Amino acid sequence: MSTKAIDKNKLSELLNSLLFKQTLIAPVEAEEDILLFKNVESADQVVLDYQNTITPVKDWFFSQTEELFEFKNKITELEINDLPATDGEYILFGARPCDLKSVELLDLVFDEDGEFSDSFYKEKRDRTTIIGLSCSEPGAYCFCNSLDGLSPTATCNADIMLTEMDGDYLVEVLTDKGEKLVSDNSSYFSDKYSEEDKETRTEEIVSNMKLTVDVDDIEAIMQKEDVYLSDYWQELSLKCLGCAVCTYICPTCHCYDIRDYSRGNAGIRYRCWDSCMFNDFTEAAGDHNPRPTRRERVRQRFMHKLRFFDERYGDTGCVGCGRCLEKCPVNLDITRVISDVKELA
Amino acid sequence: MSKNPLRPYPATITEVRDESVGIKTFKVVLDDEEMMKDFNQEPGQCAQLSIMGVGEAMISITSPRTRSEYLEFSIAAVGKLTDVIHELEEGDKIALRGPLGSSFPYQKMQGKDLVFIAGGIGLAPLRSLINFVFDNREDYGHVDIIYGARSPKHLCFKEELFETWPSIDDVDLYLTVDGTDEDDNWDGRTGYVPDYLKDVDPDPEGRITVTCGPPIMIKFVLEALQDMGFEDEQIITTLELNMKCGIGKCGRCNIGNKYICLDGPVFDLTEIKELPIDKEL
Amino acid sequence: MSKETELVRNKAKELLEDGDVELVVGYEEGTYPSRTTPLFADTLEKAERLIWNPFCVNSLPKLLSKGHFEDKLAVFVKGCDSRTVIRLLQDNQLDRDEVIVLGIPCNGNVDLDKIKDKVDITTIIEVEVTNNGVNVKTEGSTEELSREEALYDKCLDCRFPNPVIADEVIGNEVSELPKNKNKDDEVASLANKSVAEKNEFWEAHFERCLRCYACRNACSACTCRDCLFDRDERSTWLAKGKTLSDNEAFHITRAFHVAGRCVDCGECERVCPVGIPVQKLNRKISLDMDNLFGIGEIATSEDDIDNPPPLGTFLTEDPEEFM
Repeated sequence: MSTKAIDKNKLSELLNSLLFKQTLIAPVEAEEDILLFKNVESADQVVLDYQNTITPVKDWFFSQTEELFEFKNKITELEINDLPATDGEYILFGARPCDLKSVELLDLVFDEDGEFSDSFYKEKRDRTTIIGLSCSEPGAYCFCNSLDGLSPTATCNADIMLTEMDGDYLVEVLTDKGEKLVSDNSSYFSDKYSEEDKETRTEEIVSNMKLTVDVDDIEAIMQKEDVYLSDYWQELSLKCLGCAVCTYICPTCHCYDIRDYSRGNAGIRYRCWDSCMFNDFTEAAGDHNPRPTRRERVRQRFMHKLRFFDERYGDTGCVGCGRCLEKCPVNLDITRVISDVKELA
Repeated sequence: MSKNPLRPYPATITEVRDESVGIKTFKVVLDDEEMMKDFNQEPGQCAQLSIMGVGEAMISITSPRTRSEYLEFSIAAVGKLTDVIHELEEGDKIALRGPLGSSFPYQKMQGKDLVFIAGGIGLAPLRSLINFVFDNREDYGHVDIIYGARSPKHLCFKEELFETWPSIDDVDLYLTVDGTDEDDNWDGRTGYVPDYLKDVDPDPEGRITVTCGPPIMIKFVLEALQDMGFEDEQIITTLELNMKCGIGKCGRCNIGNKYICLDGPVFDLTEIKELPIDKEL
Repeated sequence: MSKETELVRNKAKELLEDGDVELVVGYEEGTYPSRTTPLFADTLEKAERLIWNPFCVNSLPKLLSKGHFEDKLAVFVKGCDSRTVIRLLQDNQLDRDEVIVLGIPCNGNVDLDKIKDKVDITTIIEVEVTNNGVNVKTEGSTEELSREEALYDKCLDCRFPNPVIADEVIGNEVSELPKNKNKDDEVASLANKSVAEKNEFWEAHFERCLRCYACRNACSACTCRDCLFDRDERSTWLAKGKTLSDNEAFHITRAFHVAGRCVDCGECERVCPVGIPVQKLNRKISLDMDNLFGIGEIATSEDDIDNPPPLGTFLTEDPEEFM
């Protein structure tokens, strides 16, 4: 909608002023080198030059553990009540393009128009203004630029997008929510940049990307029966440890479990992240398991990202953030899987 | 805030019947009268039943919407939750949300002859459709019901099998059991459902078949039906996987681009053949 | 090609060609030359992909404990990994006759997270680790780093640079390594803090736990086929939801379960995505186990294979102060 500029020192003033009225969620260093999105109390805590947080922004919209409702039950009496709804206004600051894109994809799952739209996710989405932050130095494992519509500076569904320039940030105001934030705080912003400046900067940043993968036709290749049935998955699964690192730090994985906490006659039903990598994920009563070994589970993860998600929602389920290949204890690398699978076909 | 899709509503158990070995049927009424009236499930759809503090499970609704004052569920005690449900008595509370999942294509079936093929508790989901068909008898043609269970004691819905359904016009019932005990007093057929189906040998012309039962039975029934010349679109069955959310989001019942809880449990053979599966069903 | 890589490839090809084994388990290049990934080589062609360098950090024997290998195989191990072999043999997770253990002495593994701010890890060509330091050669330059700057913490006071079990050792034995750090002193100083301070320390770490169970799945001592943290019906006393108290319960329970079985390989801490110092907790319990049962370091020689973990046996002289 419009392109503006904000000085680096003014940015932290702006964040501090926003903090008075809204809750600010931003990347902070929780422990040496461990960056996480957290509620911040002062702009000083916000880290601006990070490459990627450990957990993605899905943790804000789709919390690892979310309470669904409370209940009181005796055998012949039962009361079920919704919990008080979120009533705050939130600013999610510093989301990288890969994470922005992941929110677009999670919207397709949770915020669809149908009768089963996820009220918890939707409520937070509606109440959150997203300020994205382009990557100035893509990380060693980042490959977003290989994916359609993504780049280290892609705006995706941000309300406002910041791109670091020399001494200040180029600001793209992209939605009504973004427009409102900027007009309410107009004194922090100036007119300096144009769309061309962004393009030049993007070219500069993209030239620093290290990792690329050719994803052309990957969905069609994954649809071939001999690829699905290939021994490749068995071979690949040999090195998988079967933990959930890849799925829990993946910005688009959305599987969950539903459980109850109860004490005496009262309790809470909650949902929490679950993982298709766990052996009990699909286990049914009577020990029947449609995905009995790591071969099926590893295959499911890649099939879901690169084929099933696309078939159902029309977009690839991977955003190229590189988290899974970096954090996987055995470096089970999706970019390698993509090239290997192409060789199979 | 929009409606919480994972929240169930209190309901009361108004009747418990022993159905067969390890299976009970529960008649359940939602406490909110409006909600009960508007429930309006289609045949084959499911509901999530919960016991607070224990858990939730997706169970097929075995009563048709034409009998809208209650919902019936036939439940085998096979795990932690269903064991607790089996302890419940008339007047006890349970929580419920739904209807969920896909339904049998009862509109596409209008004017056609129908074959229902079921084994064991697999008759439960079909029962909602069978009674729906009988409640709208003039819309459907001839009905064959081929049903079997492990032994006479394992047959479900005996009153309907032996009294109600045989008295309805243009209905043929074929019952069989895998085996008998001495005290069973069974003078009917002994043998497996797929074999009985082959003997009945229904003509594919103008017919639709609906099958539900244990996986091994389904496998042989589907083979037999294809051998008899039924087209894939004429063969309807249900898939069952471990489910949690019931609304196509939590991921555990994912096969290919489908979520069994949302896009299923009802599929025809054309749809099933499109799913990526290691070996044939 | 480094000398070690050449030795590893030749050995693997020899074993496969002679039909001594069906499968050789080693490492190949991962996302970058500096990032390795396990390789299961069952052909001569695949054996050509094997490598050996100071980035070969994964414990490979753990990958063999899943019970789905029927054929005879060979596995490359460093000193720390060789203790895992003993550990798995103790638990009958490996069949000694079906595994050829190929030991390679090790000077220490390079931690990419530690060096990534100093060198571009995507351009690393070669690394040399010596007792005096670590030389990292990239496309553009050579960086000289200290051992503390470049190696995993777990390697800084390594006591087992040479394999403790091996059918064959490839490469030269490593004489004693410098002690750049004393982990046990760190554990002792943490243990000496007040309860409130210890609580604060662990809560800050456990709060971050994602419950991804990477620590469990990478652990040489965690060999249960069905774990109590899996499945609904078994874990009702430990909620699957992520709360501080459930996270604490998970870590403390796990620490107790590996008591007397932990071989101090440090894989738990290395694989943790959120930097929880899991090894400190396990080490504390190992030291306590030594105090209580006088077991010293476990799994340090082949003799230990038939020497079951103290909590899996009963001796009349065992301490019983809790009874």
